[in-house]
Amino acid sequence: MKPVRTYRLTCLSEALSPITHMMGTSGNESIINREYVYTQGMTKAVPVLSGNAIRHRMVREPGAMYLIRQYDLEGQMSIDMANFLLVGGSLSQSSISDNLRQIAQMQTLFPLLRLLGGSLTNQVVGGSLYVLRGVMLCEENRRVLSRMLPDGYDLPNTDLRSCEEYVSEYQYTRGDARRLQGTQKLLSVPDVPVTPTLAADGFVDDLLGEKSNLMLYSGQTVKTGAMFLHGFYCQNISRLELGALYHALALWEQSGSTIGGQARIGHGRIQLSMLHADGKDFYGTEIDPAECVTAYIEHVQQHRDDAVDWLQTAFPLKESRKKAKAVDLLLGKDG
Amino acid sequence: MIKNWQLTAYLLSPLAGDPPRLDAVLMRELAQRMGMSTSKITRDTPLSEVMFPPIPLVFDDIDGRRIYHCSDPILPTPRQEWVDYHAKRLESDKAALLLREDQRKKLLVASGPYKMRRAPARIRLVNVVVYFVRGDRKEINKLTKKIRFLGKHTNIGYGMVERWEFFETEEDLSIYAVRTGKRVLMKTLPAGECLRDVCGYRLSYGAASPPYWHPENYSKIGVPA
Repeated sequence: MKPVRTYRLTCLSEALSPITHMMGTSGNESIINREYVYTQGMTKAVPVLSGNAIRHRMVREPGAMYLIRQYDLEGQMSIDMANFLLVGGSLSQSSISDNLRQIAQMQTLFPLLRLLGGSLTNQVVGGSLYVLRGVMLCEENRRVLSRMLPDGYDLPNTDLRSCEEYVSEYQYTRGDARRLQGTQKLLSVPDVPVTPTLAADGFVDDLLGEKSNLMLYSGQTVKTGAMFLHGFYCQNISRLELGALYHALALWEQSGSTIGGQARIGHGRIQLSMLHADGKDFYGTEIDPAECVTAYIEHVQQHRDDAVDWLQTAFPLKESRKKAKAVDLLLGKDG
Repeated sequence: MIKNWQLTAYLLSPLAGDPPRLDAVLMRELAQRMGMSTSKITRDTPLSEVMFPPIPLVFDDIDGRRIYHCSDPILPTPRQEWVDYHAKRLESDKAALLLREDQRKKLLVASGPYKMRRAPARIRLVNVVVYFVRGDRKEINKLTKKIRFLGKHTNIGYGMVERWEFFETEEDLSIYAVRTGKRVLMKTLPAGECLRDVCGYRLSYGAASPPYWHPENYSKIGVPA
């Protein structure tokens, strides 16, 4: 497999529904994620899509779910294995040495994990993917945008809109079943004839001795139509890793292409457009993404058994450890 | 040609954590290019067994250590400083059905390996990181042009470098700078003779030469302050 030196993919994403990528709360209101930008002699907080969110939602999660399905691991995984594949794992054992054979096997069998890196139970393995944050297309970001855009793309000379024009608010109601018309018939309030008027007045609540749970919740959103420039920068990767990246992005698009919260009610849908891909392989040949994806899928299928074996060895089920020890004891291998 | 340079990295995104020392970055980059596996060197590897790549910076032998002529990173006053939080958690709702039947049990998420994290990171809005070096510009440029990120959390877009620029300086400001007749420390040095008649530092404990994380390099040091 010919190595690729560096590869940079620049993307433009447009919000197809309000984006609620939050950073916390202010009072009762959720507020969108922002970062400070220096513009026109002052700093201003501008909405941003964090690289952390993009990395997880667009690459790691769809890529890991694909592997889990291909390897028939649904319903078969240990918690450590799920934690490693879906989130990147965590150090849970101390170690004074690195198991280079284990790392090398992982990098050979799992191009996606070589791309993203992760933590085995006793060692951290670095990745080769740098995910660029989603920079909003607004006047405040003009300086950054003009430098991030690939050759051949320019910003218009006229002023872009201010970021605040893209910020809006939402408010929803979480209903209380006891307040809904007709539900009083289902409530257990014996010997009291309940009319809709009485129910609306809170009569039923008083009888049950409980307050209503009706709740309003609200927060900020980035409006539909806002655009973000972001990208992926890969260093010293192979075509298989590039295939894993493109494949994960395609899977993410097929599964609804959302980012941020409230996706259950239609928020966070974005449309990804690949603006520019910049990279040649070690011998200076242009790279065809479709070819890389095909090679990646073939690789996953070809190494299925070895990959499953590796996962089961690296993240054994705790019971199987006990069983193994019992077998060792029976065979007299435990010393 | 060996000269004194002010090397400036222009940043496109905010910087997380502290920027690295230049000799460490150059060493890693050159080691990778030379096919030297940096991951094979661990904290318990004796440094006497390690071969270091020849980075294009002038060096002196100070207190038995190879000290390269490159200052510690210098940052302007940040235009804004804040704390970002990075979340990480095992999404139990998505993972539950993927687990084997006997693995579906109560999971401690307040501590331990599956702890839900919302880790804070210090973020600074700075447009440049400056280093003063004495070395070969052409060779340094060959290495720095491939260094696209500085600082922490670079995998999620912090510390993105737009470009590197060289400005020639008359003085060698890589280790000391002379200001109003006094020598000001510009680079972390081992505490000892080299800190005599020097001001602008505080004493600490750590490494003064790369690899900065290796315990064998730890000693009493003077850090520019």
